[in-house]
Amino acid sequence: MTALSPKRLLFVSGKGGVGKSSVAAALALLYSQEKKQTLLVEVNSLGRLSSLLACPSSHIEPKLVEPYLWMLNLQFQSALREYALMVLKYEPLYRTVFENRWTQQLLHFIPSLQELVLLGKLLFHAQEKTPEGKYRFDKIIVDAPATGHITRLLSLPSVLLRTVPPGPLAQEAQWMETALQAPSTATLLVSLPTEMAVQETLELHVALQTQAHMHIPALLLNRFVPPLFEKDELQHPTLLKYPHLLPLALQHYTLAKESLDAFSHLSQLHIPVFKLPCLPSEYPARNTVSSLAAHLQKMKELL
Amino acid sequence: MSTHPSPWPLASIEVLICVGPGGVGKTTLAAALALQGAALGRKSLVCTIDPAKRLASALGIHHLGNHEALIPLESLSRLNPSPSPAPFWAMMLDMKHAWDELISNHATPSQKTHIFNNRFYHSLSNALAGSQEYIAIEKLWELKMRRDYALLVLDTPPTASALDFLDAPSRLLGFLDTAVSKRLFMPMLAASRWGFGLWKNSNNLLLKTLSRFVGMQTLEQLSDFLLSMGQLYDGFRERAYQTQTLLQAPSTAFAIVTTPHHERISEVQHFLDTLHQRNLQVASILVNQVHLPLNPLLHEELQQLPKPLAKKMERAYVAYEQQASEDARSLQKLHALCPNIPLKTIPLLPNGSSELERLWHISQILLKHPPS
Repeated sequence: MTALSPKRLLFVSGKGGVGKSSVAAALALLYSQEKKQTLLVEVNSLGRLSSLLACPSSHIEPKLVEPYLWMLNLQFQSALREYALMVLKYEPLYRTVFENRWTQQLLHFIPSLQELVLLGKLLFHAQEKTPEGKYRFDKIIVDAPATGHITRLLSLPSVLLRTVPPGPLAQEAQWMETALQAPSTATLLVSLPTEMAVQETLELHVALQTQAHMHIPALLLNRFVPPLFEKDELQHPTLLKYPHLLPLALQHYTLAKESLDAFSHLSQLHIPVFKLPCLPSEYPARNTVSSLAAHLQKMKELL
Repeated sequence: MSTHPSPWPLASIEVLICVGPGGVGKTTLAAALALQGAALGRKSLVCTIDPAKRLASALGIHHLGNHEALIPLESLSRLNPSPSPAPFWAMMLDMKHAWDELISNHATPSQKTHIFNNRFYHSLSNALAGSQEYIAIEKLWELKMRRDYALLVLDTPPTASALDFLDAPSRLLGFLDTAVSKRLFMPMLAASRWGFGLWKNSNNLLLKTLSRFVGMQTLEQLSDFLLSMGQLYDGFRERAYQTQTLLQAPSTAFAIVTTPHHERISEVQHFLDTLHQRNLQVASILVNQVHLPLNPLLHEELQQLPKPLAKKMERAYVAYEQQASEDARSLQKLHALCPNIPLKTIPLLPNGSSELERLWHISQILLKHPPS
């Protein structure tokens, strides 16, 4: 069994700028190419994933964008409407109560309501079944928010259960918590070979485990630079003669050293760490995602 | 240096808010900007409201909390040409502490106990998304109105949330100032005087419908919490109003921080649009971690290296050049996107001997005029 094979619902998170969206898109491409019904989810996005994959812009409902690949852009207003209609079952009542300025202001003021509604819609699709009783989606990949926000999002059901008395809200929180802590749900953390990113990954790992009780089956160390120069080569008399060459060699040496340091730090978590290379940006961006997918595919212990 | 007045070093700016996508170095640049202010003789503070809390490591110190801390600059004395920099302060917004402090400052002792014991308050101050933005407004107000910093630099959380921060004052005002309070709180207030039974039987459609979502008991506990906060609302409203005015003041400006990656360009566009829509002033776009072009002499030098080393150098050279040409393309696009806003590039820096020295180098680069 590999790190990700038993996981159906996978949140991809990490510090801002580590390449979460690209990794999420690459994983979704791989799974859909394996003919798994794959849902790729973005949250309140401006259409980042659609432009990465050169797909039609994603939709407030799961939309098939190419064979086996579905995309969903979770949006608060539409998700709230859907949820409210499900509870109220009567559209005029929804319009009277929810589509007035006062309720809208109230809803915007209630902290975390937005996250709750979005999480609810996501988990609904994660449990959705076909008439034959199979899950509608074999793999759900979420391009999740960055550090800080992800912990709050994923611990929200637990927080609510501690806060609200028994009732409809607590019931909602209960099934969401169960779904998030299920063995088939996990968070994949992406990191970079910089001291700051590694530190943040270590902290995020602790926060997700203690506050959200999340399974974290693997870490991806993106933009890993393998060593090229030996330390004594940098003191090579020939190299020292050339003022323009030396800084370039030093820069590369530093990057490679940081990469190795990051790898050994992250390995302390006793979770498998997978290295991804530093890939050049290509045009269109989908080519970069495909190259990343090709690298991921080689990691037999990950997929 | 040219004799034309430059929009930099922002001598007239008192509040500078750094916004931008995640992972571009906002925290580091915010700290460098505040350090620059201090070096120019203005008492400065950098404050991060990013829940990722990266400011301490950017300053090279171990701990930084909810209180303003003076950062010693002695170690910079060999670099700093100005003999006496103004004090340089830093703080990290800790949500729980900031909420507790706010309540302590404004509530009576009995209100305080009541609020601190309420379960809703615990969630609000500890874990609920959105409350970070509210408390950030309160903090900005306090730092601006109750302290004497000549320059406040604010670091914000990435994309969508930075915009939440901009909207937080108007959201709070919208909530407190309109009929919501009357339609929702007044019945609650009346009901609380007569016991909740009366409220339960109220004909208020809004309350009845909401109770189908969250349950009557939750609404009761929530209303109890809101009522216990009741006497603080006037203060909330006043400060939110003042903060909204502050964000639009001529002495307040925004800096958009980004890296030269082409996928960031549309995000920069989004920030520009959002800030312009709100009549907020954009002082500069700071492009961080740029691979500057290599000196052409380098190629000649490469020819003269012994073979094995030359081969390795060649690989390092190719990798770097690729990045440099990508960066140059993105910079051109950014220039075209906003020709009227000063664009500053900060080259990829090798690690300095200390974090503070690195910040110092960045602050010096930011001082220079943009290339014409």
